[in-house]
Amino acid sequence: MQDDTGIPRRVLLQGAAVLGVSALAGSALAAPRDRAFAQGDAESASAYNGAQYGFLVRTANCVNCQECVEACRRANATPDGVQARREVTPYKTASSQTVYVSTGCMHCEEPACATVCPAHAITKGEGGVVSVDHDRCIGCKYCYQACPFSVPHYTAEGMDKCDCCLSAGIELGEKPYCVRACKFRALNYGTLEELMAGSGGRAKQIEAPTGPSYLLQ
Amino acid sequence: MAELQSVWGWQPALYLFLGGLGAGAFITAVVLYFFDKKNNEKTICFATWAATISLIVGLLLLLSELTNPLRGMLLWQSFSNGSSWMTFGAWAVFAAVIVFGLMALLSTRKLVVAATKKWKKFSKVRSQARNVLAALGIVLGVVVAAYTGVLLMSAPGVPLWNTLLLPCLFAVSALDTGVALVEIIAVTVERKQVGPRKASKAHRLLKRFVVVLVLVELVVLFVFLNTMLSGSSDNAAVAATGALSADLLMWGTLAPFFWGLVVACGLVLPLVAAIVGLAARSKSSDSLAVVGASGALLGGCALRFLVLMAGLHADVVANAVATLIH
Repeated sequence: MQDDTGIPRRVLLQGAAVLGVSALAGSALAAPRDRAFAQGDAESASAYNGAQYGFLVRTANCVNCQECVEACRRANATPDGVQARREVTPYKTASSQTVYVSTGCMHCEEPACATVCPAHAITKGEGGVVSVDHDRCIGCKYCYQACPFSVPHYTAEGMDKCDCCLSAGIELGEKPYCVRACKFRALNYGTLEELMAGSGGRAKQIEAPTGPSYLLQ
Repeated sequence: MAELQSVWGWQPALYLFLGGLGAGAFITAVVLYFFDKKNNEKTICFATWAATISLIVGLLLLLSELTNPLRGMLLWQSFSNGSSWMTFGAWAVFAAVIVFGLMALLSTRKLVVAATKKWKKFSKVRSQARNVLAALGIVLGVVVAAYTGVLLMSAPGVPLWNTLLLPCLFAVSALDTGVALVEIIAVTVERKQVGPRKASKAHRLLKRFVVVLVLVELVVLFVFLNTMLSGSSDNAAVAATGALSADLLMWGTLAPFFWGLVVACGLVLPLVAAIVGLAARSKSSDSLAVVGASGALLGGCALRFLVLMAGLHADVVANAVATLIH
């Protein structure tokens, strides 16, 4: 049982006990208490005041070689048949020119995925990187519906998305594998200030109510 | 052609329908309880059981959709984030199951007779407890009915859902389908009854509800679709996707189901059946009421499936790229 779910037996037993007690006591009483308790956690989970890391895509440099996608797949051991954490999509500019944009999680300032996640499985951590706790994710897919960029996708483990390769052994601030694989410097990584300064102030932040940490140039 | 939303499949669609149906049926049963409980005891009993079972089946369907259903059952951990409407909804549905279930138990004649034999004061306690459960259940019913829409409304990635009109639509539809289920139950439990009908007033009340609810639902549905088609969002991609979703429902691949099941079966048929039933004033309108109510249930169920399938995600990146100068 433990192997299948990753839930320790002790937690399950505690769960059965609490479920029984809360059923007897009436969950009408349990619910507000639980919500009030969780509210503080939710705020701390999505609030981040330090330097925000993100990506910058130079669309003129991208040739759709898919190296970033392949590097991401290898580094994060994405199973065959499952969508990679990164994808390259063709778009039309105002002058009808086709450009390619490599996208993954936007590590939003106020991530909608973390707000709607009922299980507190998604948090905004150091560097403003949004990551998933696979030991808490129940795989309800609400985060996919909430994300303005349709980023979350699902494996047997639950939700799967970019965490700037932190879980693949990359230190915060070091370049993730996708950026290392980009031969044309189309995909760049750093703090938003660094990236904006590097573009000479010409980059544009993608607009969405969640405040994506993603710049286009 | 736009690809339909499929990440949430048939289980969440049925969950949203059964959640609304259960809440609506319970509210209708409680209205009958306060209106004329003496002549509607059997209907109230079956309706409260049906409401409880609807919610339980809905919750089981929701669990079956999770990639990790076992962890989902650890309610206090898996539904602990107070900023998520899913957390609020899960606890509200759980509370509703308990309140609806207790009301159903206290409305079951055999159980009441057995308990009264063992405890003489039971009759008095039961009466007070039912009043409290009925009042609590109405509040929880309204919360659960609206929540099924709020769950979708709070997903900012999908323009069709991200409007207050959706909880309004789902709440009215929940009441509408709930009344329909209670109508079918009322006709069924009284089928073998001989002599003059005692609950004819209740039947007329339900038919009046149907007329009002269908008319309100038609207005809300019209405003909802019109808002989407007119693309009221400032963001061009969001406005275009909302319009595309509404277009899919009204004129696209989902249109036959939308007009046939939601509008014709789910709204027009019950409206006509209720008006004819009110005009006829006889027991012969029973079968017509059942046909109308069945249409309402089919239409309400189809509405959840279609709204889920038409929930396209806006491509915000396309919008940003379009503003780049090249």
